[in-house]
Amino acid sequence: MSSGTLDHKCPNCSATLKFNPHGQNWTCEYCRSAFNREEIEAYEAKRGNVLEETSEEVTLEKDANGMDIYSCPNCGAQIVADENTTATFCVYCRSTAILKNKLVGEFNPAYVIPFQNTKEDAIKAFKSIGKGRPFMPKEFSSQKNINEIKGVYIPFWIYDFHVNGSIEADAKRVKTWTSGDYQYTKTDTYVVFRDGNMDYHRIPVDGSTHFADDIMNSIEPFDYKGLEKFSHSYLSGFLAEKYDVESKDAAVIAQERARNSTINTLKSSIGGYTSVVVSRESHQLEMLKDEYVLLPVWMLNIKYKDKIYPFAMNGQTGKMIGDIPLDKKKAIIWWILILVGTFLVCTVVWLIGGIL
Amino acid sequence: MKKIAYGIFIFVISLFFIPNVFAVPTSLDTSLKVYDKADLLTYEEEMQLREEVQKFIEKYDMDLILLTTNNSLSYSNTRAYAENFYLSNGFGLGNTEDGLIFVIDKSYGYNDLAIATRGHAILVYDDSRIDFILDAVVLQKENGYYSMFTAFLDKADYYADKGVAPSNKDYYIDSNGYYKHKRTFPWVWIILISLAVPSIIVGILVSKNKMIKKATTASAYLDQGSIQYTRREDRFITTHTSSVHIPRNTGGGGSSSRGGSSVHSSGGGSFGGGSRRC
Repeated sequence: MSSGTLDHKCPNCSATLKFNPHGQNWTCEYCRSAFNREEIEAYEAKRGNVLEETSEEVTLEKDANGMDIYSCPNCGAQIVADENTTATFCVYCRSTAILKNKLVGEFNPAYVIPFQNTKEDAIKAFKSIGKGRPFMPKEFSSQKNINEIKGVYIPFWIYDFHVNGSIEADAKRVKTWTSGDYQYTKTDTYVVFRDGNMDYHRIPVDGSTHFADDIMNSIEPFDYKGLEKFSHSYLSGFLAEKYDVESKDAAVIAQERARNSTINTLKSSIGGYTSVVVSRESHQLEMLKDEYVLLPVWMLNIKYKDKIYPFAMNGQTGKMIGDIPLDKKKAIIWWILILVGTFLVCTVVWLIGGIL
Repeated sequence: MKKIAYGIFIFVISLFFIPNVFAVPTSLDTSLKVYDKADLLTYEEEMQLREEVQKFIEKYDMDLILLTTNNSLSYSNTRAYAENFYLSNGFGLGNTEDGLIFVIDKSYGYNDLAIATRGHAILVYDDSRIDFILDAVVLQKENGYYSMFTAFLDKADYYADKGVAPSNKDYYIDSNGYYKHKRTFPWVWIILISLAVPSIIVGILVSKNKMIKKATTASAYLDQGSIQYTRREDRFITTHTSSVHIPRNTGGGGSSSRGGSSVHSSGGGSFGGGSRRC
């Protein structure tokens, strides 16, 4: 394979073979054949379509904008890809193109959670985003506003930490009681110490600068029971990226989250006081493991009134997130109506109270 | 059987009316307003008082009855007698039977003075005003019954002119003659609630439109079973007790929201008033 790309062909008819999230298998859109992971891997191995470190320089060029150029193994057309793209399509023949030199060595993911839901699922989830959100403009969740939708395997670092935390707090217990004509207030002051160890498993941090951290935070959690040993076959039919943030740099974000949770856990173990003020806190954090994984995310760009709203859906759990514009007029009308309603109810209750 | 039951019913009902039947003089001219049953006044004095009383009634639109008696023994006290006399003879003006009655009772040998107020008069004559009136009456004891009555009239007129007692400003007489605390519409509370409820509801619903949030904790990834405490110490440092004197509200005899008039309710409506022995 001198093109530097991998594709997946149907063993029966040679059409493009894509991963099917609902069946968790590979199905051919033309001859309707379906294959499981063992079958597909055996076939790919026979074709020599595997990820391996090649000593020879793959035939990839760079265009004037610094984009990488590949040739489609199916039709020979040029495929232009961002330097972080690891899986894409040929714009001409829709063949999948997996850019193998970006998935080897340090860029070879340990695990992948395969997509569990399809593009149609994502569209459906978006169309029902207004449920329980009365202040969404009525037309916002219309399908015609979906400007772009793509299933992307996003590079994530997942970290295991062992954290040793220690806090010291000033705690007060206040008791008041009345005796005779005097009200007594008794304040007991304590200094409280809590030291403890705890483990965190697989805190995810997205390893791509292309994706906003807060969006990736918001589609958490992924169910890690769905982690599969990485196989490039899962990428077939989807886009994929490789990381461009090193593990040690992304770790800072996970460490901060682990630290905050450790302090919160220790704080919540202090009970029975009227007030608790933490006066000193410290922690030591040991990274037990970092792993490079690909996690499935449907990315949607919603165009509404000439503004782009980024939405994302967890490709495993189906959790759809994004910021919805506010229908201010409706919110104000609701506010006024509830105000009037509350006033009337209060008045009626007061009047009934007068009769009783 | 039905007829017997009906008969018994009528008999039982009529028992309730017997005391009234005895108490009510068969024919009383209710326009006279001054009734000297114990014969403590001269005819001229009675005439004089009637004239004063009529003036009072016309001026204040409240009934006023002056009464002397030496036959109140079938009642628990002079006040009860006065109330009964007032009610059973249909005194009082307007729907709420506004008016007051003053009795000098000789039934026990000494002077039992009693005032009973009804309707609007309950609001005018609060407990302290009734005390002042009785004080003024008692002061005239040496000068005779006529002077006691004129002292009463003088003070009653003085307070009626002042109108509702300040201590009764939060009270009113309802259409059934009951003395009740005014309910003022709690504007401040209702406006605060009416602002808070929609603000909270709309605030929650608005926040639902924002789903993108940065994560700052990792509690979902914490292995709860791995938590091990190496130190859990609550070290007692000091204790401190302070006391504050509670100012007691001495007004109103200890019970809150009490009006300026002590009343009791008898058979549909309230009576206020007071009594004195001299």
